Amino acid sequence: MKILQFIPTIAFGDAVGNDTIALRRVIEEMGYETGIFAESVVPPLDKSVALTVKDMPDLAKNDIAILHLSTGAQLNFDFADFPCRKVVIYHNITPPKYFEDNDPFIRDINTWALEGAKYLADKVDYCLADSQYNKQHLLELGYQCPIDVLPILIPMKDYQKTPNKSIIRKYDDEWINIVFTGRIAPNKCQEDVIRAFVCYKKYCNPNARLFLVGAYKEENRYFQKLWKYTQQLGEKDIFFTNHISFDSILAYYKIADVFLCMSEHEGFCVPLVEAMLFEKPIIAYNSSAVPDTLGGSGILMNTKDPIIIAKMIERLCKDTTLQNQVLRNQQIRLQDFEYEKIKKQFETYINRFIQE
Amino acid sequence: MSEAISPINIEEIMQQIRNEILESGYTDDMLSFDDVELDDGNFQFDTFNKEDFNKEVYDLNHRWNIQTYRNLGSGGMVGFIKKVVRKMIRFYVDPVVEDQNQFNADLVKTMNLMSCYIQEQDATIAILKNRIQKLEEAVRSNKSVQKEE
Repeated sequence: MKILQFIPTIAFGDAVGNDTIALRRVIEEMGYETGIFAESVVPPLDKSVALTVKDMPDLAKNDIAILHLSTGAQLNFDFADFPCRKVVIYHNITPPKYFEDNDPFIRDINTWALEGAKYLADKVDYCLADSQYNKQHLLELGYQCPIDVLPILIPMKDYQKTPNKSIIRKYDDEWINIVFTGRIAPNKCQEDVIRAFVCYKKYCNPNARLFLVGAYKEENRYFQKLWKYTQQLGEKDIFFTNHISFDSILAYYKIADVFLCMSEHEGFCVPLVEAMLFEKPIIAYNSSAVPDTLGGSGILMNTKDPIIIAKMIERLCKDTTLQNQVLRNQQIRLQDFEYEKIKKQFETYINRFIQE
Repeated sequence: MSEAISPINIEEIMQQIRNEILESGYTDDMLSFDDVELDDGNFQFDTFNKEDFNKEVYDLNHRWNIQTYRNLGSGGMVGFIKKVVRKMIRFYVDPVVEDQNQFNADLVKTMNLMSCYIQEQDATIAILKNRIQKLEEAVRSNKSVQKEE
């Protein structure tokens, strides 16, 4: 019996791609023949990681095909005709409305992704959702098959690598470093992070920096607008890192005093778990899957008022009792995402599905 | 889970913060993000950046396959007319899109090959640099031996 994974595009450093690669290892360890098949394999990844969909082997009735659903692709429609048992791992789809004014292509591809998700609603046998929020979305899309929640499998050992020393030397000082990680995208609302930071500098502490750690494209309109916004605000201590090496990402977590997330749409939000791992107190806006991932830890805000957020940052930095309580809660929550735990959960779900 | 999360009374802290803001008279008079207006970007580069190149290749791999079919919503008579028009022009639009997709696919393949070529060249250059460095060191040590003699 084969358990094969399918993904529209697999690329280095992408959360969904990372999850797919991590799960492949688990399936291999379970003793099944496996493989990853994608419409596009983006260099530097090559066929040692994934083959193209047209290279997939013949599927038998008792084989299992797992589709990672997060973006628009023809694969989402073709998957319905696979002659085997079908599982969807749902990572959620960013609502097209966020790209209305700045990226019509992504708007259309996400609209297409939602069409694909709806199309598959009565054509798959089982679903795994990264979060309760994602499960709820599948139910809203009309899925009636069994759905279980399985957080993203994060190989925690990878984070034990040595962080970039020059970044630590440069910024690990008395200043307050506020960090948010995630690609520059309108649903992640980096402008709200900037607004809170500007208020923090103005009303609480002028010795502070903001690091927006995430990839962007120079010609992306949302990035251009954020860039111009920081220029017009006259703020010099805001840093856009763009795509950086893994050891640099680790360094930014290391130097962070607070992890600030104002995102309005997340299917899971791996950076929250990363912040927990690095023992950085989290302040996050209450939206989408963020409360599921925090699971009662961190500080969940129901407002985006930049002055209130700024004062909360100040409180969290100064009040060590509060900070310790937040960090303790985050460490407890982090245990739920341990690699072995999620791996075991996945094995249990898949074994149960096989026996059904 | 052995230990349970102890809830923090965020609302109480928020109330204290709100009172503090009220007393201090802090105001949010910052420029609104919605008021930022953009000029058109340009696509000129002065230097080659490998990270940017890889990102562009990533996007090409993601975007090459254009679909003719677009969801038109379900808006009564207008929606119906749009769907009829979509069906009527399909015979003309589909071949054009297919040609475009063929071109796009060729372009993406070319760029992926280019990416492989750059990686191979990088590896070759690294080996050659290493050899040059070793040769330079050998020449230098040879010269110093000759001077001593």
